[in-house]
Amino acid sequence: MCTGIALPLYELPTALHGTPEVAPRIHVRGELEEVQFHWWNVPAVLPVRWHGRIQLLRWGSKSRRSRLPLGGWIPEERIESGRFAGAEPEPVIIPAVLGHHSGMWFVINTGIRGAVICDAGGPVVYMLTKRSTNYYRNMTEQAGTMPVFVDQVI
Amino acid sequence: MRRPPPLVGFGDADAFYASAEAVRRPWIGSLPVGVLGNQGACVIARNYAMKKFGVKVGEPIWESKVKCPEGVYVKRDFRWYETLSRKMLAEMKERVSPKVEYYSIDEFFWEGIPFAKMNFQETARAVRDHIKRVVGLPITVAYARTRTLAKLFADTAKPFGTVAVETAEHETELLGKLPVTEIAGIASRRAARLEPYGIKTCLDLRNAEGRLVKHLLTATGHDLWLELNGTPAAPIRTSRTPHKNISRGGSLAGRVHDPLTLYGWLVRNVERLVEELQYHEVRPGTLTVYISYFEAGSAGGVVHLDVPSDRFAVILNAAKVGLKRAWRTGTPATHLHLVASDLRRQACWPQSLFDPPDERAEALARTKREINEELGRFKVRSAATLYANDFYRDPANEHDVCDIRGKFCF
Repeated sequence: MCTGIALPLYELPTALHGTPEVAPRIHVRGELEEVQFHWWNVPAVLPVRWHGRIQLLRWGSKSRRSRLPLGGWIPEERIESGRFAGAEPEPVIIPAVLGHHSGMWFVINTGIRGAVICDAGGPVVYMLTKRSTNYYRNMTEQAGTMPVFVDQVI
Repeated sequence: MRRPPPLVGFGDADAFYASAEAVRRPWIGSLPVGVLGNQGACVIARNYAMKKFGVKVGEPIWESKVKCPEGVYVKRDFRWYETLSRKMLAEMKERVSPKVEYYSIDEFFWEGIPFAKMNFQETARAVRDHIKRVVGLPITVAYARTRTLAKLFADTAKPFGTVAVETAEHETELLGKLPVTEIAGIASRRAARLEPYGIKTCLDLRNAEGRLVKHLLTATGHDLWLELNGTPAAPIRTSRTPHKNISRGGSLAGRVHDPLTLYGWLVRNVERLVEELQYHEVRPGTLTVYISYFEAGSAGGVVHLDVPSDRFAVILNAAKVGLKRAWRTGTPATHLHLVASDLRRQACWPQSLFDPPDERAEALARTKREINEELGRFKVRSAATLYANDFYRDPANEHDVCDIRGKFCF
């Protein structure tokens, strides 16, 4: 499972830079200042292009009591099959330049496709997944699923 | 002012694949970068930042990510690497020398003439800076009396260095520091043959008796010895010498147990091979199918064609026979290669009663070729390749390093 992404700090709106969701997540790699968003962060959030700007939304649900789907990932075909039609999932793009899977960082061109579902607590984003390609499986020590990338095949 | 005698120029892009990725993604330039190979499991190239962590070429990703946890990995893209490679070649031809050899995807030799009002060292710097400015790639440039010397000395100046070796003293000094294994063509086995004679460095080899070198390393080794002594053994070749064999194939993207899947791969490689035969206007007299098996020896099936041919149906029929000969039931296959040999050029194509003109097949092949040229490779392909269909879902698999034509080396 792709459990994290990274984005250069300059890609995020400056208004977000000092916020508690961003400031502690800033890392320096080489000469690059990047913001890392991991599933294990509390709270787990992801940057999302939504309503014309980049916003930070809650990433999935870790609570079994919630009515939201458990976890941070939803298979693309479950969205396409209409399984979540009642929740009116909204397609979004999660901008990213790096993905993190099994301890390895890989390059992403544009981003990952996601779906936003709203509940009483506000909007929540899920990463869309599909069956891994052979390449992605080899790269990630046999992961069965991979994110749905925007205009990119890995 | 009298111009100095021409030297051989050599340019070698530094960590080419990784540098090429940084050209289109400048933000990764400062990070440790590893480029993953055709199957996504091994690092086929890494930049100097990743090299510092001890990551080696050919290392599996699960080992390299432990050595370099901050490293970032990117999937190879030979189409992009070819674009940059050809841009470098064009610049070399236009700005550096009229006589340029496209040696490999990231290496070039040329007839070295210094730029106006510059010596060779200044010229080397100007070439390096020009390529960096125009193409965006860091390269190392060397000038020396022969190809072998220029290639050797370039390695001493990497990365993004320049060196022009014009005096005997400078040459001797550098050769004394380099082990013989630095010479392309002398690996550990050949080096072991030289060692009992006290030949350990390039300088030792240069100073050895020519006859002894020929005895130990055959005529090829003798050519290297000549080059080390400043006598050119091979000219700058501006076009590729004709192929003796043409081969297509590679990994099967996993272990293949099923004969139909293997057949799908066979047909894929037949299509690629036919494409190449027709491009070079050659027809093979012999076709060999090689299969490598998982934890078992490899096997080959040789087929002699009745009439040399570049027709898909003829090559496929021969390949099927070769496959049958090389196939080991129940043993998982990992690699498959097709090798076309005994190549005949157009003037030597025999007429035969057993190879009558087939206008329908010709028209079909022509249509297929034209559609693929227009819309993209493999847009029209044999239905039998559906047995290996997963591989076609990834556009990156349409173009491999061997599909880059005109260069001498892999």
